[in-house]
Amino acid sequence: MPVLAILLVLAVVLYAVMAALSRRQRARLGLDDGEILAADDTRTGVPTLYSERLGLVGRPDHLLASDGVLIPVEQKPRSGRLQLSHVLQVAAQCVLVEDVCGVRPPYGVVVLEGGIRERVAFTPALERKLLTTDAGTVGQGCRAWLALGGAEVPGIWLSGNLLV
Amino acid sequence: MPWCSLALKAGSSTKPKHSALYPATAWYICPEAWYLERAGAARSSAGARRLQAGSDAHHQIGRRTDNLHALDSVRQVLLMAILVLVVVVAAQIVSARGLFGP
Repeated sequence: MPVLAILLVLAVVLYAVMAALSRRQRARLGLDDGEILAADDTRTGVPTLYSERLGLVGRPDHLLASDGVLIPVEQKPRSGRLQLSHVLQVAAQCVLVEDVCGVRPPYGVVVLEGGIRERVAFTPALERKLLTTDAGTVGQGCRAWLALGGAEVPGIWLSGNLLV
Repeated sequence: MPWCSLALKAGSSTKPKHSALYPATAWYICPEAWYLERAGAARSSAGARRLQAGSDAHHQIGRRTDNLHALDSVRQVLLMAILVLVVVVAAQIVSARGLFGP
């Protein structure tokens, strides 16, 4: 029995260490709460979300399940502060999640440099702003450029991989 | 979609409006970038560096997320092992003290 008791104590200590490591990793990723359902650039992967209604295509960096809702997360590891383009981008991800799943995320998350987590409330006002912003987060001049170039475009791509 | 159903588990009665998904082949954020790429426009070295740095940062985040998943999986197994050990140790204590014996 002493062997088993020692094993038990060791297992508990190991578990506590691993829990601390997990918390630290989560904090570095800015994913303090919620279960990670999908993640870009990982073995899990993340689906590309498409809204025909809005002509939007996007892929959030992480999708979290928290309190029964899906929360899109955008990683901006090279940005020290929240910018309007980040807010609009994560709002677009919220719109996409709502369109694909039918459940409105109450907020999205932008994770800045150093794992700093900014929660962006997905309010009707923000949604209106997104939908009335010409090309939203994709940058000014895109539509003008396309009008000049006449290229066919599959929609507005919103991914975390390029600068907005 | 599994994560959609997970979100709906909480009792939401709404139904998915769309289920169409694009294959995850494109990584453009902007139609302008998409058009420039298709048009074969040369990328400035600063732009290419920025792009590479951003891409590397996201790969790193992906690796960290994978590590986190692995860590959490091991933790779950460990938790099960702890529970089993607790039961076994408790059973041994009980039988050694003869609590249920005559």
